Amino acid sequence: MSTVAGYVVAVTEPPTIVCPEWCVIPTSEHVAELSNHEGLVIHWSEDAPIRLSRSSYVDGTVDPTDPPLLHIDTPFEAMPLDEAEAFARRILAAVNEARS
Amino acid sequence: MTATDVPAASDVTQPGSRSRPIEDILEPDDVALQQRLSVRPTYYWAEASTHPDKDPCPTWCWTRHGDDWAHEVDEAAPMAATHRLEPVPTTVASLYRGVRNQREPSDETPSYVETATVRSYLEQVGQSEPIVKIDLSHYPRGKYVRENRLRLTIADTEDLIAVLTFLVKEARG
Repeated sequence: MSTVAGYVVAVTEPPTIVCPEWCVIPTSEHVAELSNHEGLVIHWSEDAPIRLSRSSYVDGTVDPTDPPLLHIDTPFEAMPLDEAEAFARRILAAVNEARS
Repeated sequence: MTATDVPAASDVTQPGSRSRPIEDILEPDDVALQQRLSVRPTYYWAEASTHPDKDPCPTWCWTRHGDDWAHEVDEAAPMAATHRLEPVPTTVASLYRGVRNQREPSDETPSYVETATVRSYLEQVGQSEPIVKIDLSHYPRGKYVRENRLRLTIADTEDLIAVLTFLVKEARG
C-alpha cells in the first residue's frame, strides 16, 4: 500500500473539503472539526440505524491508516423476515458505498 | 390444540429418566381427574422430551437433527415451543476485545482466544412468524456484555451479511 504524506497547516481561509457522495455532514461542520482530527475529515453517511464513516484528507484522499467503519444499531425487538432481509440489503448498500 | 392432542401427564417425562412420570410432583388423584376431563396438565418437566406444543416444527428447527434435540419448556411461554435454527455461525467483531479461555494446568488442550462476536438468531415461538435477532457479545475489561450497537469493519460486515442472508433463505425454505 502506498503511503500518503499528510500536512497540517494554518490557513486564513476555510479549506475546500471534498466529500464522498454519501457524506451528509455540512462543510462548515467538517471545517470546525479539522483541529480535533489532526487535519483529517471524518465523513458520515445518513442517520442511524446504519451509518458509514470514513476519514480522508481535505482533498478527499482516503486515509489508508483508518479503514471505513459501519455503525449499526440492531433493533431491540426482533425483526420479521421481510425486515431482516431489508436490513441486510441496507447493510450491503453501505458496504458498497464504502468501497466506492 | 384439540382435546385429542392433550398429552397424558404420564407421557411427560424427563430425558435421562424417561420412566419418571410427572405424577412424581402431583397427587395421583389430581392427575387422574385431569385425564378423565381431557384437561391439559399444568406441570411439565422443564427439560421434557415431550413438549406440550404438538404443532409441527418449521423445517429449519433444530429438532430436525434427531430425537436428542428436544424443545425445553420455557416458563415465559410454556405451551409454545421456541423453534430455533442451529447451527448458525457467529461472526467476528474485530474492533472489540476478545477473551482467552481459562484452562486448568492439567488441561492438555491448548489455550484459545474467542473474538468478540456478532450473534444472529432465527427463532419462531409456536406457530407465530419467524423472527431474526442480532446482537454483539464482547468482553470489555474481561466482563461479558451483550449489546445491540455494532461497530464493524467492512470484512466484519460482509460476514454478518452472509449469515443474515443464510437465515432468511433457511426460513423461506
